[in-house]
Amino acid sequence: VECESEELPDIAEETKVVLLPVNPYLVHVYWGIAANDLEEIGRVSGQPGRRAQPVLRFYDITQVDFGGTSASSWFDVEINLRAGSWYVHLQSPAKSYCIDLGLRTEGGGFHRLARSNAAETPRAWPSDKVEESYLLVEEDYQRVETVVPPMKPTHAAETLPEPRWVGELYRREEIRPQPQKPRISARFETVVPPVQPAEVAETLPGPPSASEQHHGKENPERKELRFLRTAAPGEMERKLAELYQRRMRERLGFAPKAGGTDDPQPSRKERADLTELSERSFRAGLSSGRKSS
Amino acid sequence: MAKGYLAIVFHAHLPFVRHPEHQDSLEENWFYEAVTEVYIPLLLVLEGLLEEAVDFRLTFSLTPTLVSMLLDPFLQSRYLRRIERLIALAEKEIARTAHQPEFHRLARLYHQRFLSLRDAFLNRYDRNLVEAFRRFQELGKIEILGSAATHGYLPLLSVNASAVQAQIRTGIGYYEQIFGRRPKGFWLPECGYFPGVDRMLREQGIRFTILETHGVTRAEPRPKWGVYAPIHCPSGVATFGRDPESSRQVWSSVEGYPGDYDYREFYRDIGYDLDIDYLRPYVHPDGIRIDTGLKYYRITGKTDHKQPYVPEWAENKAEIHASNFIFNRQKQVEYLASVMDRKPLIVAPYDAELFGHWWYEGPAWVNHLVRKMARAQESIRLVTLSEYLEEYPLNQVATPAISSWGYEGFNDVWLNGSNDWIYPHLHRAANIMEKLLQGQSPPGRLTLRALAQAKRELFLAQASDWAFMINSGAMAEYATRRTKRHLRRFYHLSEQIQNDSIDERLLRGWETQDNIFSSLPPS
Repeated sequence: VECESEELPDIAEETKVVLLPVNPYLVHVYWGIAANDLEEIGRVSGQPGRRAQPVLRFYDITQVDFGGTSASSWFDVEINLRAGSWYVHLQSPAKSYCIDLGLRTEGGGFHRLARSNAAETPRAWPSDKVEESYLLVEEDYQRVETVVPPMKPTHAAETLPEPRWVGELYRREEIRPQPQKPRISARFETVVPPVQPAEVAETLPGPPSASEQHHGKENPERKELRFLRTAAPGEMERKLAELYQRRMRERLGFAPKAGGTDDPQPSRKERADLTELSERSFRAGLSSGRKSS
Repeated sequence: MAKGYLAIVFHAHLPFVRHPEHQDSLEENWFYEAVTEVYIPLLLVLEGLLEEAVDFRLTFSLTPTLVSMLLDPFLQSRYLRRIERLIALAEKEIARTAHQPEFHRLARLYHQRFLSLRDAFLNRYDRNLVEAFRRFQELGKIEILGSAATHGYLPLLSVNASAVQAQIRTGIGYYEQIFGRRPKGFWLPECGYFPGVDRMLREQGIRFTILETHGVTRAEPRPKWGVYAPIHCPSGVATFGRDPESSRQVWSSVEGYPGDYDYREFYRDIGYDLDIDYLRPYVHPDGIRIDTGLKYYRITGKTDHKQPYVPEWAENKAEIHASNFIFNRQKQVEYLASVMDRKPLIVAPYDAELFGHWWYEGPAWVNHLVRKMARAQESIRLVTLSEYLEEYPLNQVATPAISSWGYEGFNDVWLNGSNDWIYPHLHRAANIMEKLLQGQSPPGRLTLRALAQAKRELFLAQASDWAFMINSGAMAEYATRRTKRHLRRFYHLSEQIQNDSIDERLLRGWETQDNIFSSLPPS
């Protein structure tokens, strides 16, 4: 028969450490140590003349593919092993970490007991990275297309062609069989290097390199026109090329904050930064008391 | 032609609270109060709109826990008893207040109201409110979003991908079972987003979700239109950002409409004001005072001095506030339309329980709002999020930022010194569940039942509500008990399954009590 006061079982079956972000500047770490590892800890720290400090070693893996050695930096947080969990304040938001629970021995040695999951801390402000690519997603994911418009900021910002029209353009082309399972996304095309339509072959660059994507820097050539999409028959290419040439002619503005404007009085549309507006209003709301309950 | 769109989203959720083992459960009251004050009143508003051919579009997320409670015959019959008890109390109040005209009038109004609620529940809806929502969806008037099985706070469960996937898959499977189709949109519990959850939604065919403002404004790369157009995750899932302006006007405890002095005061209930012997048959049998729902005062002012409630004044205020809300949205849309290349969309999600429970006049406000939107104004139109995506299938690609709609916008509410003890258990249990489901030999019938029940117990332990209550202090004891109970039952079951020593009698008892998703398949 069930006993309501029965305590939950002690849970350290294996030595493990888990990292949970709380907010941009705070993470929670909990760990458990299996019995045989406790003996090991006793052995490491019990040697005469040696002191072993339990630590959480934080590896900053924000920009790297972490293999255990390539972290861009690391730091230790000294802990009391018996505590079982710890809160750690961090200086910078939007970082990815992986941590080792271990013993730091005198002389700089490190004895690892467990490695955590990788986890990311949240962003604390909007991104500076301005890059527009668009995704067309039709009902039930029957078609998903990536579209990267020109980056060049312009001032005669006119209305974009109706997105619906772009949809029509795609829909008219019955080039692929329908997915087998219409409800579950049956297909998702990944972006591949562009198939170059003849008309705009000169201005179509290749895909950005990984490093460019990482740092958000644009190759100046690429700024002229970037247009990536999946391979499709020639007729489709021609129509898309026409669409983009028309857009170029209309000198459409895409990037609200892109630099390089030569007009001292940018248009209303360029000055409007709706992300900043939304963000400010959100912050104001945080301080004015939200949920009434 | 409309210059922009407004999408109002009601997030209707309650944790699974069902205690057949008790004669009277204080916690079940949350459900009965919400049926009386929120769900039936909102449905009746929709019925009125439909009868008078007022066109509208609204969005609801009805969580699987709430839906299964609304469909539960045991809770339905207890609700009926409850509303009948309220009718009796109102009758008694009519007699008691015979010489206090301002209260007497209110007692009569409550009596009328409870009678009509009972009539709606029993006759109009045949006890099944879910069917009423389903019908409005079939009529194209509302869109119902799917949600996670038991409102698990997914960012903190994500250490086990399988736990998050199970919450999503079961929530959607249950939706399909009840509503006869798969949902296009998914309500992330507490708007809790972590990178990767969109891919899991996508695997289940989900087209969009809603995030707190900063989930979108801090997306990478920077969204061009702030929260006034959705972004597409690289996975293809669209995310809509909550508009901070419209949410503050309704939500804020400082500036929000619900604090108006003419509105009904929530904290003055006869359940606390009157003599306990008089109340005894209508409160908890142990003599514990509860909210009865009979409240006679208006907010009046900032002090404890309260004046009698005047329904006409309150109704009038609800209408004024509806106009004010529309006026502000019009101004907003006019500005946004002047700087955007498309029609702006304002997404305004609220906890449904605000409307009618905390803010008694909320349903009246919705009624006025929808009617005013439908006539004599051209700049802004109500829309569902699916309709918006049909019109605008091409959206900027950006990865949303980690966020929630909890206090401070991250995980603080659900992970702090008061409730962090839960997670090692939730993670460990999810690990065990994974292993149980990978069992080699084909399980027998009893084992299948035990597996399904273990899964239910784990789901129930994962509800974000418990950590929330423990953090807020109110109902912390109950929430702790519930968390421990489900974890303990899970551990027991998993052990019995592993040792092939299933106690059928114990299992049957738990199946009867924790009977959510009764047709749940084991994997």
